Amino acid sequence: MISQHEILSGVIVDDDDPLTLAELCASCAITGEAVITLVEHGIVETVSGVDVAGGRRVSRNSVLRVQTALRLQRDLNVNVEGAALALDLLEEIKRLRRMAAGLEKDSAESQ
Amino acid sequence: MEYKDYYKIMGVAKDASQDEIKRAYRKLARKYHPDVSKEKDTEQRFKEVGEAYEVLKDPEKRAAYDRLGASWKAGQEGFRPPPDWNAGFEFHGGDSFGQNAGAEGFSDFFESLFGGGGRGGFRRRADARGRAERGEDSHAKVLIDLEDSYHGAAKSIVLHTAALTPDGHPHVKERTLNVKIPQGIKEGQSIRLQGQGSAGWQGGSAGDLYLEVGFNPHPLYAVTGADVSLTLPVSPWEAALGARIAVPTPAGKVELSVPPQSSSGKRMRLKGRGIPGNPPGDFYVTLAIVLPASIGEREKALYESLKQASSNFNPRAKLGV
Repeated sequence: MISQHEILSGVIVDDDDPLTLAELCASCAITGEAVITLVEHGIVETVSGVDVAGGRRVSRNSVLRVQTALRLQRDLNVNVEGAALALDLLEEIKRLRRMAAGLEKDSAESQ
Repeated sequence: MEYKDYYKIMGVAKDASQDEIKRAYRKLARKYHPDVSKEKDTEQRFKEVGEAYEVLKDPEKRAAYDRLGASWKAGQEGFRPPPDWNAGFEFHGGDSFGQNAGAEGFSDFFESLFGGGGRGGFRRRADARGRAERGEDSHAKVLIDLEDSYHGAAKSIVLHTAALTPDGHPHVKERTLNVKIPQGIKEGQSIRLQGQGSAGWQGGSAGDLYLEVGFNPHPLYAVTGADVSLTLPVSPWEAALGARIAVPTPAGKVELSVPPQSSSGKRMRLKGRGIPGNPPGDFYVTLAIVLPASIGEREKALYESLKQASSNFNPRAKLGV
């Protein structure tokens, strides 16, 4: 039971903290077969490097991509290929919106 | 409790066909899905649309709902369904119950009409597991100010999660978390909070919570990655003669030397004054020459002298005019 005043600290998600495939399964409540499919479609990014068990590791960012893909599948009936495309497009859209917001601000202020 | 007009929510006429309702749902679900939409309150809207579709797509529920609507007057406060409003209606199935609401629970209005038995498909897992299992990870979004990233901050967030009451009814549980926003976090990055996701099964550990960070729009600054930029208004004489100017940054005022003969659009870089980090981002200042709102006669005369003295200067030479 967390007290009202306790402040929780977290870690910024980046590529320095990869997970095993088994950890990804538990994190997103999906089967090993599902993970393989997601890797094949580029939704999950494997990272290279030596690890203890000799198995593959995936980037922490993959958890976020998989969660989004699962929501798209559950709520909008999107299949894996569509979800992979949607993820790429969503990331590009976010990047462009940030750029546009910066440009709009510059243009508004120089008038 | 408020009456909900499901036809209005879905934007269909009261005599719309089932096909029209399905088409309307698909269009609205795409429009308001929280991962896709940038509209305000998308989660609320998505839930509303899902709930409306849950009722209208099922001819039995739709008929019961229509009968109820007939006895409700617009503008009436405090809605309460008459005790026998659904007499004679049987609700079958329930295998896809809760799917369209995104497993987030339904409104009080819906619960008062259709709450009760027949719920299935709410849980993501079909059977009870015998062994201990780690809970799933969950995700949420938090909006912070640019200054919070510069200095670090503590933010309070409210999470809504779907849960089951002891007697098996889905409802929305609210919890408040106080989260430390690490210094140097950039827009789009996520913070992983261990153990704050869904509870585990049979004594397994809880999953993690991934908090995606977004920045509130700032009145002064624009942010791209770790770089922060500002448009700096300067007077014509400051630009022509050069000046030392105080410039605001999220970390406090900085003095900038504007070189003489600077034009509008000139970009100057203050290295390392962007979002802190390793390496820190940079702070960019773009000059914009501005004139006073009104110019008196004396100023006008001085500008005329300047015009005579600068008759060789053609700012549009490159345009061929």
